[in-house]
Amino acid sequence: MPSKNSINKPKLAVKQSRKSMTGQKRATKRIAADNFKSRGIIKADSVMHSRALSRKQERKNKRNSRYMAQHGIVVEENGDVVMKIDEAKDIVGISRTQLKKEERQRLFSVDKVAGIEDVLIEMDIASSGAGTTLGGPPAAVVAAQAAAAAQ
Amino acid sequence: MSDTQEIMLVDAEQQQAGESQDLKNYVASVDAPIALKYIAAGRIAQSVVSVLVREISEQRLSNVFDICAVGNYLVEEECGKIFKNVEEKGVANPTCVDVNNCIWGYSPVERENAYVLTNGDIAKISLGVHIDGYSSLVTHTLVVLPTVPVLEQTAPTTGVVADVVCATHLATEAVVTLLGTTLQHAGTPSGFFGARKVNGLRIKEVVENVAKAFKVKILPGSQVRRIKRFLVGQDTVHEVDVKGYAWGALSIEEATDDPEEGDLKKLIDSEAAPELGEAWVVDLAMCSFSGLQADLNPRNEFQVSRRTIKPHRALKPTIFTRDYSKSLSMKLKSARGVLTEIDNRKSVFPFHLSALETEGAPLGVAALVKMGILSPATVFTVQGAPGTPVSSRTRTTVLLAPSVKYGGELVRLSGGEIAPSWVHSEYEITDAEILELLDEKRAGVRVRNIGAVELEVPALEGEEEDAAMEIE
Repeated sequence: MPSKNSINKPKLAVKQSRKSMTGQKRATKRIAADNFKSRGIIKADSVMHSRALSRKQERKNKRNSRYMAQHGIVVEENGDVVMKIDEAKDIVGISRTQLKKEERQRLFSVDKVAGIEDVLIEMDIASSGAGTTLGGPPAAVVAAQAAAAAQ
Repeated sequence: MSDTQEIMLVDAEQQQAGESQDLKNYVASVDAPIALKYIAAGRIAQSVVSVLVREISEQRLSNVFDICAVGNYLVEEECGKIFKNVEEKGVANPTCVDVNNCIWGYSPVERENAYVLTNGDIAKISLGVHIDGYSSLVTHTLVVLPTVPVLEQTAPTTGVVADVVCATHLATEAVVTLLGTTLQHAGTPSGFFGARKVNGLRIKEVVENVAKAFKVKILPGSQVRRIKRFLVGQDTVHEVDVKGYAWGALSIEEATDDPEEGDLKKLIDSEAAPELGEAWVVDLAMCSFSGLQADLNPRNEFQVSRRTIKPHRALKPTIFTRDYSKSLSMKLKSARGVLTEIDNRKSVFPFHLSALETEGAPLGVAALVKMGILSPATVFTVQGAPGTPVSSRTRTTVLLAPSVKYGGELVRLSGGEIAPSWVHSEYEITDAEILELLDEKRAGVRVRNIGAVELEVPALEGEEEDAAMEIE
């Protein structure tokens, strides 16, 4: 193993310079590169400072603004946050949570107990010395017979 | 630590392990998490079968390949919508459509050579769904009737077809009610049913009496048994503590030692009673009888001989089950690929050949079958002289759930709400006990049926092409 003072050992300064290329610097560089590719305008949040937004923070901001738009939450000029119900967008359809609940309900709920009389009707067994009959004519036949009777 | 203390600790650990194992197979109530998984699986199975029955009845689906493809697709699709955090879910039994004297395992892989259903065929549609290993299996027998012209169907189907359909349907209903009578508690008027214990032998007696009334015979492989998580009677798994009754064995390997009885019967405890919190499957198959004594099982006059059931000469197996007790390193590249895919994506349940995505899967599967790592589901047919027998099969899954209000409730997970085909048999049941079982009002059994939900049938490749041609 080479000693600490070996000439073949990389110097600490090299490592430090590599490590320093992390976090904020990396994000800034990436966003600058993105902006250069697109429109050449530096993206920034409303407050003027040198901080660049990470992708995660961008996603969070988008989500927050969407939520605010849906629920009519407005940030006024003086910085106050106000909820204006009239400006809330109509949420189309049902929310995902509600949909999930309905889906779960549809698949998991146990049907109501069929009444004992209903069960008897469902079984539809005729045992009167003339053999056993199961089921019934298909719906198409019933409809055709009804139509014929009506004529 | 002394030896005695160590032994005590080991015992306690084993006991704990045993208890946790039981808890995974014990349904505490209808709202318990395990029950929800069973119910969801039952709902999907019931919905898919209902869709297939409707599509076949209205002649929108007639090719067996299409029927199986639609069935498997719908099961996977519906399972993907629920229990997102559960990895193991989906097909517990690939969709099979066994026609006429075919009794098990027909699920073709090619559309061109697949059987096309015609009027008068008896189609047995089988499929299974599992969520986290909690499975619901269903088989429905459908008599394919003409839809055009409609007025041709002014009378029900009669003859031997009606006899076997009536016998399997009524035997299944009677066994379901019989299982339900075990839920009766002290204070509930059980009357006639309280006098005798319900167990595998009594179930056997009831089924055989129904078969006797309709002059049909029970096929080997029929069984009424308790199912557990991941265990629904696969050939590759040797289970212990199995309750119920089985009429012989169906697989060739099991029947090698004892051609008439098979090992399956020896493994099942016929004297154990069903208990609250258990799930049971009622799987009954019956066939018409030629009248030759040689076709009967010498030990049981209500059951046909194993010799009458033969593998189909032309049809190769397309359904396979992984035997996890065997693990070998394979030389063939495709075999290694298939094995990796099965181990990563499949479970202990049977899977269809078309469900494999590895290149050269058929070749790899053949190699794995040869080494015994995969167990094929042979396409069996029932044959007899003179003429070809007609067979019918009904399979339903039930849950014996405890209930605070009623003591216990029977939740029929699958096979409950689909009406049987329109048939009329000249025979009828005269046995007082079975008539009482079929009359649910007198038995006082509370049955909850899991109903079907409407599912959207996917467009088939052929249909899309046809539609495109029409537009042009």
